[in-house]
Amino acid sequence: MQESDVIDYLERLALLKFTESEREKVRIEITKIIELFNELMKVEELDRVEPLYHVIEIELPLRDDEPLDTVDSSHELLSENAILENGYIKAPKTVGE
Amino acid sequence: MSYKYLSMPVYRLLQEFKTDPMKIFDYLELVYKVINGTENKIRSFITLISKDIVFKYVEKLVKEGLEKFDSLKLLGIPIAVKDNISTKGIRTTCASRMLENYIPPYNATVIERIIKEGGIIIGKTNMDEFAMGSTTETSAFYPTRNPWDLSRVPGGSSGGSAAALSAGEAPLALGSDTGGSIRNPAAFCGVYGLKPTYGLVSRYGLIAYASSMDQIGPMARNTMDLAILLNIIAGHDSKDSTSLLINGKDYVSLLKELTHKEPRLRIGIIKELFENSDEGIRSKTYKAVDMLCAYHDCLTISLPYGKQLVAAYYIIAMAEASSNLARFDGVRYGLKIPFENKGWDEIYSEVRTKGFGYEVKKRIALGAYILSVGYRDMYYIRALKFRRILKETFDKIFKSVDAVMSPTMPILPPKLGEFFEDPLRMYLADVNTVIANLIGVPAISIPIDFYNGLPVAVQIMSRQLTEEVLLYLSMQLEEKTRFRNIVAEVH
Repeated sequence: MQESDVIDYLERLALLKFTESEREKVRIEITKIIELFNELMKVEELDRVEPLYHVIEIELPLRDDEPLDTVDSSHELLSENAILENGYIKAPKTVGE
Repeated sequence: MSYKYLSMPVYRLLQEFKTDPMKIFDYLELVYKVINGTENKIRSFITLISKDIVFKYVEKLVKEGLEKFDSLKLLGIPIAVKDNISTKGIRTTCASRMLENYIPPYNATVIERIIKEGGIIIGKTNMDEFAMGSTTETSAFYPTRNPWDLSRVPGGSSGGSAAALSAGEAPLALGSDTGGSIRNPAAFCGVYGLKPTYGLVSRYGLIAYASSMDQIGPMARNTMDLAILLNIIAGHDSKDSTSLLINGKDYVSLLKELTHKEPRLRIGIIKELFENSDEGIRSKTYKAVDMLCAYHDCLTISLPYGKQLVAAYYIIAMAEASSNLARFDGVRYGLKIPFENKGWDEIYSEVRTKGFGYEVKKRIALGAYILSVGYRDMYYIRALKFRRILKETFDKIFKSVDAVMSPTMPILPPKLGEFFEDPLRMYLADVNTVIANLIGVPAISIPIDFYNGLPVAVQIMSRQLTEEVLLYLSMQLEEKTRFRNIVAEVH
């Protein structure tokens, strides 16, 4: 990682911002954490094996595509948590000027 | 109802309640009295259901359920639930500003099952924000304190659930465990905690942190109570695609049967995990080893990895978190910020900046970094390869032993704020617990004694889907240590 603008880079990558005081703290901590991550370089024979993405290496079962009665209505599902307008979820604009 | 009921195990309470359902009210009265007396000091709960609402609920339960009382396996038992498990109509915050006002429109499968058996949800417990932490200090609302020493943390991330149990605020609790989040606070608070085999308990309704390692599990003040709650929550659920296609076993019967037959097992003692623990932990946990090894065949085994375990765990957890937490966009979920004329990216960034605390932002940012071009192979893929090697290592170990033993935590509960200056120390303290999550095996934390007034615990792991072995060994230790049904006096 490039030291000078590493925090800017992380903020851009993750789409979030650190406060001024957090920036200093995170800079120090990330260096230490990456050092910890580099411990894995010491493990021999990693190239011998394939990555294990998931401990259950079986094909995941698919159920029939039938609706379940988990919630009474889409309105109930959304009413508490999303901003609704005419039954649609309202979102910020996604196209420029 | 006298205070002696406070230390009564759930299996005894159930008998009392079935004989006289009115005792449920007396017991709840007592539990709320304890909560009123201790909660301002400990703060186990984020949302506490009021006594009035709970009483009305129980009145209805008693009225409607009289004829089926005998079959209800959790009849009248109050249960504290970690606040990342969805509860219909009850605010579920994940201890985050992001979900401060989130009210789930559905129940997690574990909650459905508990309610069906007559269990009573009395509140949602405090935790590290989105389960990211080992002290419950990253909660956006307030830290929880350890009932055994109010200047110390209860552990985390299921710190509220563990503290509630040890303070007598509830006799049963649910936690979740991604890298030790049930076992760590269970150890620090002197209660029992079990992380089941990955896929044994449905994750439907558990707000995800690192999906390939998250598991919901039971917490209690004795071994039999753990088995009672595990019986209810274990077993296949079609709503969770990673739920194993098996029925849960009858752990209560199995535990009784094993305790009766007392088969001799082979137990591996992981040398390094004892040697690298603090002195007080080491001396106490070796005593527990002696207790079990007086009966079972024990052999010392060596694990050639230390910091690498923590590195692999945090790489995988952060990578998965950065993806899982992308859903909190302020549109479907999350903080509501007026859109005005701002674009998607701007709103998204603002929502995440205001909604997430420091530790969560740090893990998301690192997770995004680990997965970015050029670093994915260096870190993420390498961690996944290490995970396979670790699994192979333990597959081999479990060919020669039935269980392996270590301390649960290498340290005693730290003081509040102690880890803030050095978060790496906090990460490294997870070294004993992350193994079970990386390879998907079950693990239990068993309290055994106190050192300088603070609880000490051992961890036992076993092969996938052999939870009954852990419960059996736990019960044997419990019989010897008499560390059971202990409630802390909070001053």
